[in-house]
Amino acid sequence: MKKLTPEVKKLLINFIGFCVFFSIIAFSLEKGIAYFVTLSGDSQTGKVNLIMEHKIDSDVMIFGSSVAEVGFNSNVIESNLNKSVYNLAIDGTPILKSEFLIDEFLSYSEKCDTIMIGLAFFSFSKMQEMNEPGRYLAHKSNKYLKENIRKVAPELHAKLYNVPFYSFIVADHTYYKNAYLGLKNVINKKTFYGNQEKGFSVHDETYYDTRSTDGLKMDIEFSEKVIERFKRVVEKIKSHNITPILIITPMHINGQSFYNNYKEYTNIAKDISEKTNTRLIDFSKSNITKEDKYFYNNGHLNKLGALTFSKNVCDSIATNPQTPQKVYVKQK
Amino acid sequence: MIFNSLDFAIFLPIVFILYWFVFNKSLKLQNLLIVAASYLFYGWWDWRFLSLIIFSTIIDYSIGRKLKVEENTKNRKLLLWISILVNLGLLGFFKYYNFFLENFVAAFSFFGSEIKVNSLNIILPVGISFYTFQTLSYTIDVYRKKLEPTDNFIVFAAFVSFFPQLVAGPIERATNLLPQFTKERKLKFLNIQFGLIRILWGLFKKVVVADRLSLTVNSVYNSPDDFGGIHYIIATILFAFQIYCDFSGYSDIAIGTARMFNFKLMENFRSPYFSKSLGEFWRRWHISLSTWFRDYIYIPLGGNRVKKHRFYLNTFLVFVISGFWHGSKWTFIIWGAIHGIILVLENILYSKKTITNKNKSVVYSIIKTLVTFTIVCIAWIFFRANSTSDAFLIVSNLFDFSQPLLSVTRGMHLYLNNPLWKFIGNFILIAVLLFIEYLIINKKISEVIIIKKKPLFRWCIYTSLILIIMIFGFYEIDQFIYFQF
Repeated sequence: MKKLTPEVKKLLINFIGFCVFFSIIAFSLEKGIAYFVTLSGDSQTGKVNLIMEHKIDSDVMIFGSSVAEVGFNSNVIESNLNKSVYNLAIDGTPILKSEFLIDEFLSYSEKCDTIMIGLAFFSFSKMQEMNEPGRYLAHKSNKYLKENIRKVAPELHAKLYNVPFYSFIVADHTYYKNAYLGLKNVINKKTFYGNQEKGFSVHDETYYDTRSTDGLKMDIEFSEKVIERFKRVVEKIKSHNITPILIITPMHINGQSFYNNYKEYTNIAKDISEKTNTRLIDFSKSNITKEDKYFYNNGHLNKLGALTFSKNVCDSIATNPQTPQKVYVKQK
Repeated sequence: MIFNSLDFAIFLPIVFILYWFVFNKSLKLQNLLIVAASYLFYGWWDWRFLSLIIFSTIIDYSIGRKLKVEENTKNRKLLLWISILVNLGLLGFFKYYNFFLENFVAAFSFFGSEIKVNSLNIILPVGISFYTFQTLSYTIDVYRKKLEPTDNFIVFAAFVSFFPQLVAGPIERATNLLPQFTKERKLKFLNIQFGLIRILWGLFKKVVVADRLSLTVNSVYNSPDDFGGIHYIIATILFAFQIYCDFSGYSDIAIGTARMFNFKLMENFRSPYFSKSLGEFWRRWHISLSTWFRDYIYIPLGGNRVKKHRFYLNTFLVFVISGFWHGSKWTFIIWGAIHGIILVLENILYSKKTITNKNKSVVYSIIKTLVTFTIVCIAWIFFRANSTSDAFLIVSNLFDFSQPLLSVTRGMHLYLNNPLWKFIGNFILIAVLLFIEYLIINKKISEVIIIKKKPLFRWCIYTSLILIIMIFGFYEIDQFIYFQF
């Protein structure tokens, strides 16, 4: 082999030395931060941690997006059903983007008998990216999460799992804030087991019509692939002897009218319910949808709306406990 | 391909390894690799526009060779004009066609006659203004017999398309860059260190400072109706630093990348916001463009060796042209005109003033710096505004403080659409930047100083900088502002 010139030798030695030095520092920092993030109980990251760290197991679990997070009042449902309830819906995250949470939960849960899935108009739309990856980044080695990212955001998957220290680029300020909160928990010797509201997020606000003023209407784009995946999630829950219940959450009639094909969304939900023989509770025509006082915007219920809706959900379950499917709440 | 992308992070090491360890036996092969890499770099964005670069290269290479043997002045002039017309023709078509068309129609309708013409949906090829000016400088210098034209097509193609500075400069002079393609190159560890430090500093400016500031700036400038005087002032100050960090960051990365391949590019910025006059500002801002205008437009027009009124006109004209070079919008022309007018006024004022000790005091210097910065910021309003009407709206309401800085929207306390910590973060970034720039101009910190330190110290600096860029960088913007020019 040809002898290396002194300059090349210097370059190689320095390059290798620096790479080792940098890798040690960056690796320690990456792992250290991730560790403290897993100890945070704050907000959405806290919810993810509850499942990923196996710190929550209730009789009834609620999954979904922000619509479910602000709609299902866990304490109300708990007192009505006389079962332990936790709302694990994640803000800004359609159910299939948080499929890993269901997978992880199913892998360890011993207590759960019912999973309520809060549906919203975008539940069957095409997904292109994972929202706010900082919420689950600390658990990136989890096999279910890895698979979930691969299915939803293949480009992110490729970068996150192949580019060294890519977590630093993906992480946002909430990630570092959670690392700080986790560190604080360690210093104060605190552990977290969820909040008093049991995952439910209270919004004590009045209604604000969020439709655009130009009167334009939009179409909801549905994805066959997402619908098929959704069915598989339902089947997966059932295979663990847990009863899934699909719930079409109330959307203000102003919001419904903004979409040309809102009906199609409810039809898809009904179709999934029939094909998977799963119970569906439909609030798309409920009286709640007609009253401003129940909402803080077109898609989200406020405190009073959540209370009414949660009671209605319990009533519906109580009045038809054995009905496997097609239980619709109409004009209640 | 842009510098702050994963693609470039893969592209650069591959080209570097091929250049120094595979093709290092022959200069010809190294130059060929530069051409191939540069075309790939450019084609990554849109391969169709590669044809424009290749066309420009062939034309100016051929004209350069013809000028070498042609002695007849008339014929030489003709050759020069062919080059100018071809290059400016391409630039004019892609950049200014629709602008002229729209203004032509507007002028006719102003005089009462409506005409119907179809505007074209033209995509502006990235970097066309930069490489066009670079090739023009070659032909003009050859015509002026300041430069011996090259007979080597690959060398010339490498000069035109050299990827570090292809899309946003520095606009190199053929007299500086071209000879570097014919010199033997040896791998020097020092150059690589210098290059990497410069790249990191450029990345910091771009992804940590410029792109973060852009979020606040865009929120105000994209809907100025929603904001008031205090917001405009803050957003404009932030924009001043955004555009500086965006553009000088690009230049730093370009200079650093070129240095890793043993090429020395000209400096494009020298802490311009520390300038004490507008004239000084233009000696520190986008130096490669301002010196291009000086050498190829201002001096041929007579420069300052003409009667005073002509000198003032020359100054004004050069800045209007400079504004027009930036983009085919009236906002850029007004921006250039403002600089031209102020420079003329500055010349009138300074020619009558004598320098006293009082003028040299620190306080006086600070006041001059602040005044210069304020003028530059007022001009930036036109540069950044989406339209002339937006710009005039902002200028006319600049001192209307009826809207409070803090707004409460749906329970959220926002400062220019930002939560407090993000809003304050903008100013912390600027303070950090100015502090480092201050150290740089006072020679307390430089690439050479860092390189001389012990390895462990250096590695700590590099590691910190890389982690800061990764953690604090904003990665959702895939453009540099100057790409649009």
